[in-house]
Amino acid sequence: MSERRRTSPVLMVWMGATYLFLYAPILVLAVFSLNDSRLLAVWRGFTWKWYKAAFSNQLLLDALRTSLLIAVLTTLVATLLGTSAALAVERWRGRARPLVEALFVLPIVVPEIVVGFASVTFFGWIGLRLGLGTVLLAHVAFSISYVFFIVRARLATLDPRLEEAALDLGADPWRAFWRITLPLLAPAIAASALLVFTLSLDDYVITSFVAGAGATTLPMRLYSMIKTGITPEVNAISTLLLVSTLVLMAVAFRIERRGMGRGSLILVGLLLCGLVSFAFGGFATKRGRAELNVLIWSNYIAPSVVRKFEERTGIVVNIETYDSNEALLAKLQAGVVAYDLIVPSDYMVRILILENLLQPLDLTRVPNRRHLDPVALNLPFDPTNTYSLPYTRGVTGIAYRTDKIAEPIQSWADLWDARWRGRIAMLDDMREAFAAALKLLGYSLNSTDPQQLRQARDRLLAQKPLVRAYDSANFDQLLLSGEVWIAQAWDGQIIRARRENPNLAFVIPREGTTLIVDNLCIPRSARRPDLAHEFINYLLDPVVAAENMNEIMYLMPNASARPLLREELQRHPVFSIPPDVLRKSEYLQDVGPATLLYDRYWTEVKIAR
Amino acid sequence: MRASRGSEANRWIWLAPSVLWLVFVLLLPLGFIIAVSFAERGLYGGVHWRFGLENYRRALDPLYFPIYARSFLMAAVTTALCLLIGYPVAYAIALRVNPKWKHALLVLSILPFWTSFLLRTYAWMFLLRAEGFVNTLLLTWGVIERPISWLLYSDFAVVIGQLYGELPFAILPLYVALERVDVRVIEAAMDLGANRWHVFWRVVVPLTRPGIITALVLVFIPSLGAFITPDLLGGAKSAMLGTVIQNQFVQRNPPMGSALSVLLILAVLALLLVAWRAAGVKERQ
Amino acid sequence: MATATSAIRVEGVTKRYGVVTALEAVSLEVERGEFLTLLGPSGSGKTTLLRVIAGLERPDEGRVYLGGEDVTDLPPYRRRVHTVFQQYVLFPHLNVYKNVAFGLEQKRLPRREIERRVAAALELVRLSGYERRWPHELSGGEQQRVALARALVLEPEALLLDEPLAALDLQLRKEMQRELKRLQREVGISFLMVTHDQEEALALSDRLAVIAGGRLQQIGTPREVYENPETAFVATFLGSANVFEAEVMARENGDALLALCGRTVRVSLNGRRLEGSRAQVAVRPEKIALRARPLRKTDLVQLEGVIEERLYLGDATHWRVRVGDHSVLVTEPNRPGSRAEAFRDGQRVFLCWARESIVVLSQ
Repeated sequence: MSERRRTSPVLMVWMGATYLFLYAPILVLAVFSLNDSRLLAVWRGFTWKWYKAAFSNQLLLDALRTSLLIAVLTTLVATLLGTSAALAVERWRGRARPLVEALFVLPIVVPEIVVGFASVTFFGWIGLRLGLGTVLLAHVAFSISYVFFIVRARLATLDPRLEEAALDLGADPWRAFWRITLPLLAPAIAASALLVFTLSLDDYVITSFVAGAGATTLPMRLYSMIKTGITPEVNAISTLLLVSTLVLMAVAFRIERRGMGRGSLILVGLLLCGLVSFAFGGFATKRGRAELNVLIWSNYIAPSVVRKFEERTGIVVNIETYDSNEALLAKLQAGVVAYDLIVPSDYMVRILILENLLQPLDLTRVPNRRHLDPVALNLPFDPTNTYSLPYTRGVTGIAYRTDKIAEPIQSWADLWDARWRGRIAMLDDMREAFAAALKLLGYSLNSTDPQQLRQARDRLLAQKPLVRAYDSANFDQLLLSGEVWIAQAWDGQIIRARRENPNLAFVIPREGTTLIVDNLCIPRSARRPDLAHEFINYLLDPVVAAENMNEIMYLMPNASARPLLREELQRHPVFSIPPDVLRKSEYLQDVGPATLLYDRYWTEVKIAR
Repeated sequence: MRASRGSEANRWIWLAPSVLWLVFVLLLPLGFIIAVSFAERGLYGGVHWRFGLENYRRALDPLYFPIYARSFLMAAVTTALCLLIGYPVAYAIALRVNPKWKHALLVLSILPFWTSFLLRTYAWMFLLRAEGFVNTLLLTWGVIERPISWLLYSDFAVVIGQLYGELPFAILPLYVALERVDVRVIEAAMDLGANRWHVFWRVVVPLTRPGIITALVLVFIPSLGAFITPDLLGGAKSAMLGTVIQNQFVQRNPPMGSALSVLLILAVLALLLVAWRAAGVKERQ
Repeated sequence: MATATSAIRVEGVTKRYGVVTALEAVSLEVERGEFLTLLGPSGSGKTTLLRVIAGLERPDEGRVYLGGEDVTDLPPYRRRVHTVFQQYVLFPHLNVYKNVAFGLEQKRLPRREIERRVAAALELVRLSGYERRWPHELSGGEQQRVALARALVLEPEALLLDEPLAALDLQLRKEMQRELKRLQREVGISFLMVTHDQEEALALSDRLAVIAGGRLQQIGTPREVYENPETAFVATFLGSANVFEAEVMARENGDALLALCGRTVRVSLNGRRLEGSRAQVAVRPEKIALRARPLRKTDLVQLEGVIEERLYLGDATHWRVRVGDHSVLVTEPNRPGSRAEAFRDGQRVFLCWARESIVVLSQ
């Protein structure tokens, strides 16, 4: 039948809908990255400002540089190794061949999360230092296979007599390879290199496990940005990256189809040069300067404060972030990560001391400690401040939207109020969630009594159907966007968010709550304790501390800095906790073996529907 | 080259770097976590080398069953949707549209795969939030009176995200399989009096079975161990295998995480075996 | 000795793949300027022999000489023989010029020299002006010529051709056969060609060698081999033949007295040895005449039979005639007024042929 193929209308609509599904999200994102509003879903006019903001974000540019560096190196190494492996198994009838092929299949079939978990556990055990090196190791490992299979598929379609013909015409094996086999494999090699490059640039899951100091890649940075809030700035970067990859790939497909003209060759060459020089450029400017690796909570230090320190001392400060004390401990335990300064919370300081992961501070090198408020000194987790100095103090409380909830909120019980079903958020933090439940029941939030813990669990289970999300990083955004109306929250982030929406309140429940002190500590494995001390002393300077506080909106126990604080911080609820509530409040303490019970009950809560 | 690649010793020289690399970064770690999965957790995390089956006993505790069931279900739903949506599209591209557009349509369908999965997930967060694009649009049009709350941080969002990420992996193998179908076979079937549905179910689908199986495997495996989508779109509310394993790492329990990882690998291997059998049987027919 | 100047000499070459013996003690010589064809069914080992000569396979036993020099241990790229592969195997990523220049570039000749020789080679195969074309733009015949030019440009001791015309359609094949012959005469290089097409072998070769089961069956000029096949295999593979069993009655100075289908016939042994009491003889079908009545003249062999089948093939007619236990094939050209037209199935006829048409085969 030579009848023209007809596409049925149903099929056409189906296809149209699918393509819409594939591209609409990207398009919407792109359009709204140009929207002059923080309340993102309403069009308020055109602006470039989010792009400008993205390009002046040094952390982001550094991460991009790191990612490109890793992607370029990964592509080079993986393409080389994968191609030579594919050549080696060609027409091989050895008995080991199935085993070797199975090995190459592994990275493709083993779930990423397992690869990441396994390699970081193993690297930690053999004492391999996490960093750029380990990221490269992991990226090359999962990339080799793709190169191997793509090149091998191409080899299988190559006529083996082409090489024979070359030999027959007087080319020795080496030259036959270079002149005939390699050029014929080139499209496959190029395609696999492209794939590897994008995979490496894109990987988050494995990288987040094996990355150490100074190896924060772009996806990692973006992930923490996404988790800590949807801002138009993230939209801008996302759009830029999505659109540039789409264009690049479209060009690549076209080249593959139509062949490579001289023009596109030059273009690709220029692009590569630019890329490499950008990636290695950052490397070169950093090299030779002393580096200080800081591992800190996200949004916990003002970029201007860091920049001034860098300018003053010539030291490069690498900032890396984490979002739970457990993640911090895991990072310290898993690899011998070379962090010079960390900011663990109170109970975690105790654990780190017990685990022998901290080194004593040399207080003589921190003269600025005299500015510290005694309320935050000599606390039970480090009674003599041998290992730690307080950085911030705060409380856990309840934040809510005064425009959505009219009556005053004063009790943990309000988080169990069925009227706010689907509008409640809890911290995604085992101890804090239990603290709320335990306090509600009138128990100590450090309870180790199985009976009390079971009751707390039942409370949390009962609350679960009402809860919209468990989130320790994004709760301010959830409130701002109206996703939730009431949330268990930490003070600083809410006070900061109040700048964007004054209808946001933060209260300390009358049952008492968690008192928090985050501390400056130097890990035992630190490479530059000298610089760390210098940095600690700098941070405790009243002027610096005030600048820092005014930006991050967390309170520091720095008595001399208090007069320099801005209005909102002067009125911080921490300064005005009623004495009876203060009496009922506690610092989190390590609960010892009861941790296992907490773990189990927390898992039950998480699993429940 | 054949001459120099030919000998066994030479092959190993060429292979050695990649093989060593994979052994060191992948095989040894996998072997190591198998060992760790039988060890005990130290009080403050870390590994205590006393061997036993405790972790597996815990992992097989009914407490965890809902997690497995949910992960499996979500992966199954994602896979089913991918096939359901992807098959007609692949079919149209391969056999129905004007050949002039074939290549462009195919490229368009797999292009999103090359962009960052993370950012594509983010795009959905932006769309689905309570005050996000979809809700705003529906509110403006008066379709709804108040924002739909189950759009984000729900199983719905996780499935949408997974579907979005994995759809290209379904379309591509399906297209390859459909492309190979000889149009004359379909015409022959029509000629023998079969109606459209009959032709589709009795001729086209069996002929493309290898492609369907490949798509199934390519979508199901990553979905089973998914981490980004449940974390970002699911609001860390619904525990799935990927998030639980990650949590074990964060909560300093490598032995438990290892045991769960081993179970996940076993599930994947079992699945591959079944798929391989299914594909193999077909080829022999 | 003449062998010292032969282009190719193969001595006792044996090649095994596991338990399969592809070549067994094959010896062969190709003279300078000679066109020699290896003819055999597929799997007979002819291509393997070519690859052994080219150096792409190593023989398990035996030696290979090119121009008198022992090259058995030399790799292919040190041998002065070049191959035209089946389906040509042009380099798809190189244009015609680069394909032809490939071998010259390996010798690191000056660019001008390369240009001159490529131009000459392309002219030789009548492809001047095709330099910038790509292999996939060429027809089968043109690709064939490029492959020839690519090998000839290196002025080899001998050119090896592996089924060079197999991929072409009939019309083009005939044309290329003449072209090959012309080329060979023009360049004066020895050609060793492998084919399974007997007509091609007969038309082109100075000599042809029949090979089967890894063994060389017979070698000689096309006429020698056709007219005087040595074995039943050669007789039936090259053209067709009726093979009869006969009883040896007596032997006398180079002749033998055979009992053939109840007749006693005297045949010449042509120098072949005949041992035992049984012999095989062959008679080509075109040498047999059909008659309705027996002839009186006794010089011819005459057998009586019944027509079983008649096949009209345009230029000739093929008959199957039953004679005792034999089904004898007879072909007659369709000339006007041929008596054979009158014969019907089941009719009694007489077959007759000259004594000289009988070839005694060796066992």
